[in-house]
Amino acid sequence: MPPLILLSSGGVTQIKNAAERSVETIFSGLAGGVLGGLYSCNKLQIRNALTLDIGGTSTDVASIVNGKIEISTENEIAGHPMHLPTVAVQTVGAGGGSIARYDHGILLVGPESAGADPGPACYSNGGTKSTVTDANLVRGLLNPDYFCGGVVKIYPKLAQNVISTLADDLSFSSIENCATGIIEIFENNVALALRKVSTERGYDSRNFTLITFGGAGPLHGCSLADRLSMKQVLIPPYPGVWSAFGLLTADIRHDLSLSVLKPLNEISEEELENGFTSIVEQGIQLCVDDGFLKEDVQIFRTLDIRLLGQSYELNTPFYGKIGEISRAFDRVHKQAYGYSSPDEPREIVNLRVAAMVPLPKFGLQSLPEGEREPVLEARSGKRRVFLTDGWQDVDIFQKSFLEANNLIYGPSIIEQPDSTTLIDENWVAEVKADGHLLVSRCS
Amino acid sequence: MKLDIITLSVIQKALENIAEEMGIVLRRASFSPNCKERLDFSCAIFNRNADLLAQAEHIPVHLGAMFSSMETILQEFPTEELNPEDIIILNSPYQGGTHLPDVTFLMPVFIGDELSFFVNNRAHHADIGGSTPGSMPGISSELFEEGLIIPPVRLYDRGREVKDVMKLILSNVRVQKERLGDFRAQRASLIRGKDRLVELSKKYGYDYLIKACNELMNLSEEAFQEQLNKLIIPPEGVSFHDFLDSDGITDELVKICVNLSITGKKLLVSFKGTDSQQTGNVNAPRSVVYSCVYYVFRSLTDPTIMTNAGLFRNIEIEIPKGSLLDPCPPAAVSSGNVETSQRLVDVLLGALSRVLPEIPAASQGTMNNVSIGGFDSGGNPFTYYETIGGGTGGSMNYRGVSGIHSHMTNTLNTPIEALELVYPLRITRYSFRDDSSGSGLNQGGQGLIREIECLVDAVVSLQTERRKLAPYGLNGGEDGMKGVNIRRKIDGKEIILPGRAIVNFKAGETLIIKTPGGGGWGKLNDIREAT
Repeated sequence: MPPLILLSSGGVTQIKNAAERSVETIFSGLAGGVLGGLYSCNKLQIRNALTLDIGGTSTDVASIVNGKIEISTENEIAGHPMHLPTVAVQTVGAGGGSIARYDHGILLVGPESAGADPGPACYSNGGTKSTVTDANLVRGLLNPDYFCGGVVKIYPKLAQNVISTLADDLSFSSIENCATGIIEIFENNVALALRKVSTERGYDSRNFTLITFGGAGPLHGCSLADRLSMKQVLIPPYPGVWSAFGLLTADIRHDLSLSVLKPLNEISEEELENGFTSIVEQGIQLCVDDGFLKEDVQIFRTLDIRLLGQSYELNTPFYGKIGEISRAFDRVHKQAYGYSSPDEPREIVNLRVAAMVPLPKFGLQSLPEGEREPVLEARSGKRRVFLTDGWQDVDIFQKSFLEANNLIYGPSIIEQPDSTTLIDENWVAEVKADGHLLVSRCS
Repeated sequence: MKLDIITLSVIQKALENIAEEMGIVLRRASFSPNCKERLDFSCAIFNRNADLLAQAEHIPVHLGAMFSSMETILQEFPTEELNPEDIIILNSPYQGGTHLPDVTFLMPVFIGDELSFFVNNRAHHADIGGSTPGSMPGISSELFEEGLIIPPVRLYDRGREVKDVMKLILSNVRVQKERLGDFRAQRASLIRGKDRLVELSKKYGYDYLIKACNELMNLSEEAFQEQLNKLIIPPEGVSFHDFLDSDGITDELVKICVNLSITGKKLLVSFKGTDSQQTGNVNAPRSVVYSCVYYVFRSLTDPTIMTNAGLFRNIEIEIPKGSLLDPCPPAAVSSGNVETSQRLVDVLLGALSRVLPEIPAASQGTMNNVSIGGFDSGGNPFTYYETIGGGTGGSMNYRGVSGIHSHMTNTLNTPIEALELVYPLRITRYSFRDDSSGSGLNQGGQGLIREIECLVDAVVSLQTERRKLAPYGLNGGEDGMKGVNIRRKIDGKEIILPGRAIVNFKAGETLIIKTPGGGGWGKLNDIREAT
């Protein structure tokens, strides 16, 4: 297989195609994480999920609905509209390196970030400002000797120094309270972004699973799930590199569209079918040109429809019959805006086709079968951690020794080289055979 | 629960987010290009005492106007008469409105059985009836000519549309379907705001939330005070004056005067000396004047500070009754909101420039309001309304920006594709206007040229300014170039039109608008001397 390039739509394509239509790759960096989330969903047969990728400077969130990634055609980059199919991701300037600052009576966290260089104060690389990672270190959530598997040295003392200065400025009773406050504001910013891809689009987040990854994601999963009243958190086997893993799961994809701009009641089913046929054939041809077999190509049809007079169209599933299309549009409109207008005339703006060829998938190595109780080697002692009820001794587990079927009750911490997971009190994590942690609220 | 800085920070973010989300719903569900493409609307949240808690900063000229509408509504509708899901509609400039096309929707929010908040939005509708399509007549001398006057009345009664009122309104406007669609979008936006406020109260408890809101207002007040302390104003204050080109009926200049002074903690803004109310439509209701003053001081304060009632608590505004800036009904006002407001900013900034060197030179000082209406080839009525950008003024550290809206409006342009799809019009030119900026150490921005060809017979109505007096330069910078309005006849002959006019165009004729450039800042010679 020749090298492939990831597209904003979450598909991959041959390098020559990407060179010809490079605009389709603009948001590809965001697509990898969502693909990783979709992979996890499929593995655990989860239909509805929010993906949460917390990095150093920003956090990317997206929704997976009915087992499908949400694709948007209304995107903007540097103030310019870009109407190409793109994984619908919300980005918020909040990550491990986000700086906490006090301004006019309000504590702000981000969007300014210390990034990776100089990074948080605890990196001892010249950073002098309090960051989210410093706050997590002060709370004892990170292991100074096992950050990045011990490759990166971090210094609790430096984190304490910067947070203590901020705590003094803000007259906090203790440095831990100040650290908790920084995390509270940080998580609130992320929760607002999660709402943008769920409740603001008309989805009830309570029935969704939160998939958290990125180096800093699994520390905040349970707490964020609580904020959105979600009952389940899923942590992939390798959270720190899950976006990279995600892009290895992508399929070949070509997106085609045909502008129509015609009232729905003036178009015949035959006309629609003919319109689709022309772009479906183009899509198949592009896949064949890429060296795939015609019979391996899968075709997905959708329509962009709006009420006559509106400027923003809604992507609607395609059914052969006009009546069904019309009803599907009403459902989508109600979902998006809270009401539908079945009597108002509507118009079709675009026909859209995605031509896809599934590529072979990677398997994840299976963990050995274990008992409910993890083996002794998995335990690496206890650590003092500052949680909601103050300092507590919390069990530490090593991910590499966990086995399928193990149950880990919160509060506990699970360490691995690419990330640290916090299982909060009243939550329990079940280790799945392929290394996923399915974390549920104890009933 | 005690009030802590963390929860406070979180609640601030939540309130801002609610106002913003209300705007997103309004934009996406609306029908008229003016709402959905140009975003000519604003959304706000108030407490039960009508104090502004949060506002999505869409359109500056709505800033002060939103809460004057609150005051009137509470006078007309005592709180005990309001029910959940009621919606009050209004546009009367003498009862909390600004000009008739700006239609305000307001909904009381009940937590349990108690009226606790208000959510409010205001959208500029492309037509609200009156003598010319677009309801922005170039010339008018009575409010009645400018459109349907809606005093505060219920449009929804406990969630149910009051059909009689809706029928009455729709029978008085030109494009009914579009109005109805936009009204529904305004309602959807309020419902979203209400739902979010109810959730927020549930989360923190009503009393706690109110305490936090009060504290947030205090913080904004303190931030404003900090800014005020930096202003060193002599005891007699600082003054400035400038003129409007005319009121559209006579050819006389109209004078606006301002004096800024500080007494104790209060900033006093006095408009004494301003000309009395005019026969034409340049009169500005008080709410417009509030908006302009708030806009100027809002932009001088740290942007991270929340926009709420606390920010403006220590500003006192003095306006002579019966003047241009506090007219008596039924004076015409349609241009007060869009044109007089721009000159108000020019005089306020001019006065501040006497004590703050970083104040920029004058921006184009007009919104270049263009309305075109008539019937398309299929016999359907159409109304196109748009304002056109120009140059902004240069300042101590920056050059002016070319071809954008400035100060009291913040709208986008109607994209040519969208415009030509919907209206029987064709854009034959849209470009920067070379050499229109005022030169200086930091030069002003360039104006724009927009040429609109009418494909059918149409009525063109113009409200434009800075056609007689140019936008001023500062500190030795040159003035920007004045604007020009031109009618190009079918034979190619060009006729200059006045700044304010109502003209019948024939199919094939073209309207050419050349907008003013921004003033320059600082003497150009200074560069040469320095190098």
